[in-house]
Amino acid sequence: MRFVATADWQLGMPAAFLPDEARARFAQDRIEVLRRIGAVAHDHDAQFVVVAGDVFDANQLHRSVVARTFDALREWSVPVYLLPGNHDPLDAASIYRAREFVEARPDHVHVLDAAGVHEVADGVDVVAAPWFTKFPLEDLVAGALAEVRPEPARIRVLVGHGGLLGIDRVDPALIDREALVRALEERRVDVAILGDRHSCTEVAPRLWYPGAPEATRHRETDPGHVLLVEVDDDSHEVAVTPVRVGRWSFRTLDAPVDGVDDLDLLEAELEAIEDKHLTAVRLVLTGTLTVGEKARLDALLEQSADRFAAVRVWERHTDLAVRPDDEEFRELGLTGFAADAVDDLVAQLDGEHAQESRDALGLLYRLVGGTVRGPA
Amino acid sequence: MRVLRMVLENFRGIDGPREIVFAERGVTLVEGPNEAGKSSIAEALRLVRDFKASSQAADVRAVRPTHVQADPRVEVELRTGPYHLVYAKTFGRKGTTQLTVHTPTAESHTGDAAHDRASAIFAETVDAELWRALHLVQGQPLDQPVLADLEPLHLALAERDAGEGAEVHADLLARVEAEYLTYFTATGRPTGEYARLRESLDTAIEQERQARAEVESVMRLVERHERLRLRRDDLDGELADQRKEAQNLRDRSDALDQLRDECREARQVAHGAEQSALAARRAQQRRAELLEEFAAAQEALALAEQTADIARGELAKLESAPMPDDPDGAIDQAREALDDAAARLDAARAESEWRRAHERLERAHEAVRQLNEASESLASHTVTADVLTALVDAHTAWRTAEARSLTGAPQILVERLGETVPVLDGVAMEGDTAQIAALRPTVVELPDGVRITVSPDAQIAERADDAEAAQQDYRRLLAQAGVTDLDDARERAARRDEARRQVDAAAAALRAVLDGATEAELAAEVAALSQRRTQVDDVPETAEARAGYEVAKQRYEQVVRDSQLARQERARRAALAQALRERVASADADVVQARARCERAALVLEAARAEASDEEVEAGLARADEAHAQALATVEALDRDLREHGADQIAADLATAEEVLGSTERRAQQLAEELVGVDAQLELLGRDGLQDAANRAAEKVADLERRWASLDARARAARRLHQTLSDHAQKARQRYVRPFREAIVDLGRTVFGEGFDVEISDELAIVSRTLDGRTVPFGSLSGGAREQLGVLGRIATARLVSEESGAPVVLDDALGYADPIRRQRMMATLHRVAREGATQIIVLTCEPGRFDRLAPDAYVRLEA
Repeated sequence: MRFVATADWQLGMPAAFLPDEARARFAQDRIEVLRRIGAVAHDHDAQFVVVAGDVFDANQLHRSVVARTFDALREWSVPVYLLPGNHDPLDAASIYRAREFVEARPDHVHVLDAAGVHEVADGVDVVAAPWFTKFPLEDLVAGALAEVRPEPARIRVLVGHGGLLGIDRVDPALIDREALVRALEERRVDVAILGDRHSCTEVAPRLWYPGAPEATRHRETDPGHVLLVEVDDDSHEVAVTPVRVGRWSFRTLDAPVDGVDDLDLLEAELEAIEDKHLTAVRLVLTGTLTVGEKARLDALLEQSADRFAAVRVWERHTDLAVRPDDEEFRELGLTGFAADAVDDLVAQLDGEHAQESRDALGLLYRLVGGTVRGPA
Repeated sequence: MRVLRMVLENFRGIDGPREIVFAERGVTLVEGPNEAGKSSIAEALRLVRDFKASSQAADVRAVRPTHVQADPRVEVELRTGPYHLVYAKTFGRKGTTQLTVHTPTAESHTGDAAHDRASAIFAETVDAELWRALHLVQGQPLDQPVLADLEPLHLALAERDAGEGAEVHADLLARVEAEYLTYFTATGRPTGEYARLRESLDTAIEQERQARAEVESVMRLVERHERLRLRRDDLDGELADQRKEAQNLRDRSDALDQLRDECREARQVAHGAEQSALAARRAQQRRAELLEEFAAAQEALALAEQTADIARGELAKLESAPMPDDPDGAIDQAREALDDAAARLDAARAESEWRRAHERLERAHEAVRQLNEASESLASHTVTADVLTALVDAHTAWRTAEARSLTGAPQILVERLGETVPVLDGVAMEGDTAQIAALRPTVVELPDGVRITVSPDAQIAERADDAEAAQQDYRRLLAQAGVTDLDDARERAARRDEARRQVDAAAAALRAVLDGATEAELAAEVAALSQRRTQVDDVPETAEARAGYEVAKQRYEQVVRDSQLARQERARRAALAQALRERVASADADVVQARARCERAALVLEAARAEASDEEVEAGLARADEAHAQALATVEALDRDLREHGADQIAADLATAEEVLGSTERRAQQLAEELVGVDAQLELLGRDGLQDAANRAAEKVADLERRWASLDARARAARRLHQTLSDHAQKARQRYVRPFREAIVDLGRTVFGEGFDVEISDELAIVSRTLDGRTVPFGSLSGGAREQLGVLGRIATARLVSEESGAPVVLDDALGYADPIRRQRMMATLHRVAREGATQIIVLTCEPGRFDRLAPDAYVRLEA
């Protein structure tokens, strides 16, 4: 028996970190990836697809998101089981209860709207642990498993959502990893699929986070996958294969920049990135540049911004100093009071208005016609 | 730039072609009358440089000759920067342009290419502002040129200040200023895109806050829904418990129902017995009442009969008692006796009064008679007290006058010595001596003997006359009073007083007798009294009459009192009799009534007894009471039984439980309705996509913040650069002041003398001139002094700027204001500068003598 496990579609999520132009593509691609997931299920002859929570990024979304989602899901040839997670809990305002959802729902789309066992195929059950509120006061997975006893004749798939009980012991909704591993060992369930972590992760044998099928932010380590899960009908042995479906990537580049060579390197590195329009780059810049070099860096970033989905400097981790080169302004022929003004601004680089002074030097450099020298 | 040569043709008044050759170094003097075209030299330079040959600009049209149909032509040969060139233009529709560059490399251009190339060369080598600044035209306002922004001057001064390689960077300043003004107004307020973006960002932040608040309100609603749902679940549990509890109580209550039914029946029986007992008691009471009524009726009848008898007896007794007589006859008798006694008393009183009145009347008559006598006596004595006083006064006057006349009068003592009797004033002297006072001429004569006349002075004679007159007055009064002398008068006056006293006494006696009445009235009273005393025959004494009257009066009053008593007694007896008669009648009626009542009671009692005898009634009551007591005992026993089973408690608990259940059900209903309401609200809000709206708002804020961060950094950079650069430019300009001042002072001392100095502003303008310790602001200087300083400033500027970047100083009809000495000194200065050879000076004048002492390096004479 094969099925596809996925989670954290986060449909309708905002993307304030992206520029306006990339944002629409980003939103559309979150829908497009569903078609690729359907293709994976179809191509691998999966019996069904489970989504382990956070199908939608919020309950108060415009209902057009639901319509577009259903449009994509209608192309699927297999049933899909949606689990309400912490972003889209089955509370009073739940999107799953909305008329637009209930009335337009295709027949092969099911909501796991009750905790416990749901038969999804011949001899196959899903043990669901849906969220009914944003802030549950218990381990929902443990609750769903409480009454489940081993039944060798059936294949059982646990579908839950949430973090694992670890360092954070304050949140009562965290999933007791040990208890879940025990349930797997006792074969009360054969495989456990959890949502919430956006990186594709195997936590323990047969205990997986598929991660988000399309990246959502920088700090995810390995997003962009779904899991193809195969359970042997007889032995109940489980084989899990991540399949890449995502196209977007969020890259963080550490770039030491001390001079023209480093700038050349950075430029080359940016140039080498594929699918620039689907890539958001975050730069951590460290080092010291001359005013001219800084102007070149600015020009490089400006050009890159047009090509990438987003390019921005991660200010929090950036430590970039700008010093005018001794030759730099001399070559520009600034003399007399203009030279005095340059000296004055340079002196202010260590003062209260360092940033302003740095930018002022850059502006002066530009206005007197300093050239931005790129690689030959 | 230096102008070497110029050819003008068909240019304003010049038909030409007219060539003017300038001294490249030193002074060129161009002399010619007005309209000769001096000013055309400067104008031609400007037009050839600024306008294309084909230009139809007003400035170009203005130089066309008016008297011939020909195109103006200008050809100039210049040395500017490294270039030596000849530039020629013929202005017209098909204008031609020709540029020939000799150095540094030979070039030749025509048409627009020539114009463009020439413009490029000028832009590269000549500062237009400097060219304008160094051109002084007489009659222009005597302002100073604006030198602060002249780049060549700055450069020169900067070089002096900082040595080689200094620059003015005017272009940089302008670019920085332009950049600054992109973001800020001149006063430093944000403007344009910078201000708009900030506003947009603030608006977006507010919109995001609102959108987020709306999402949060949905969250709160969801939380409320959750609370309501939990409460409803709790209530559902409670309801189940309460329903179970109520059912339990209901079951237990049902089990006691049999006992309760028996108890209810026993109560009904007891109630019936109680009703029967009550009926028996009412029957027994009714019988007792009938008996009582019969007895009471009998008693009332006896009482009524007794009352009637008593009343009748009393009436009989009253009627048999004697009635007092009618007292009216006795009253009349006593009244007559009293009247008679009164008449006698009045007569007695009148008798007594008449006697007294009669005697008074007698005395009155006597008094009248005496009064009459006294009055007669008074009338006979006429000397009144007034007459006597007049007599005494007249007598005194006479005696006084006489005494005065005698005083001082000659006293004549005549003594008869012999026989001869002296005759005194014709009267023989009596006696032997006579002493006479000679008050008038007095003659003492001895008959035949001697006559002596003594004459007193006139005053004595007058006095004697007065005394005589007084005596005559006195005598006349005596005669009038009818008396002989004063003593007689006094006696007669005394007698009159006596008569007066008698009159007064008689009048007083009469008044006393009459006592306010008149004599006639007294007489009338006597007559009236006389009549009253004759009313009775035998007039008794007054005391007797009074005693008789008192007796009669007492008798009468007694009779009146007695009769009143009798009358009251008679009335009382009549009323009493009436009352008794009424009582008898009433008592008789009572008797009839009582008898009827008695008969009725007897009939009713008889009828009742026919139904049941008194004994039977009593027995019935006893039986009913007992039955009731038994029924009550049964109820009591059953009640006790129920109590022992806790029936009341169960019933109370059941009632409470059902009440609580009802209340809980109502609350559950309310809760359910509330939940439906919240559901409906959420359903509505859910469609709005509030989270989407909040997301869009946050994205907009993020976009604007990114743009803002970038724009703000650029704006701050522009501001900082602008500020820093301006500060330093300002400081530099301040440093240029000193060399510029020195340059002017150097030239000025030639003109104004050793005591000359100027103050220069940061803008390189002359603020004031000091001459021999006296400082005058520029604006307050004379026109001549201002013009001279203006020329000095220009020459100083021209000397300061480098040879390559300089321009000729043109003085067009200048120094017209200068006095001959100053002008001469200015000439000397120009001469000196010209000798240095670094500056080209072109002097245009229409007054040939003005620059005679200039000794120009070139001289051109223009003729009109």
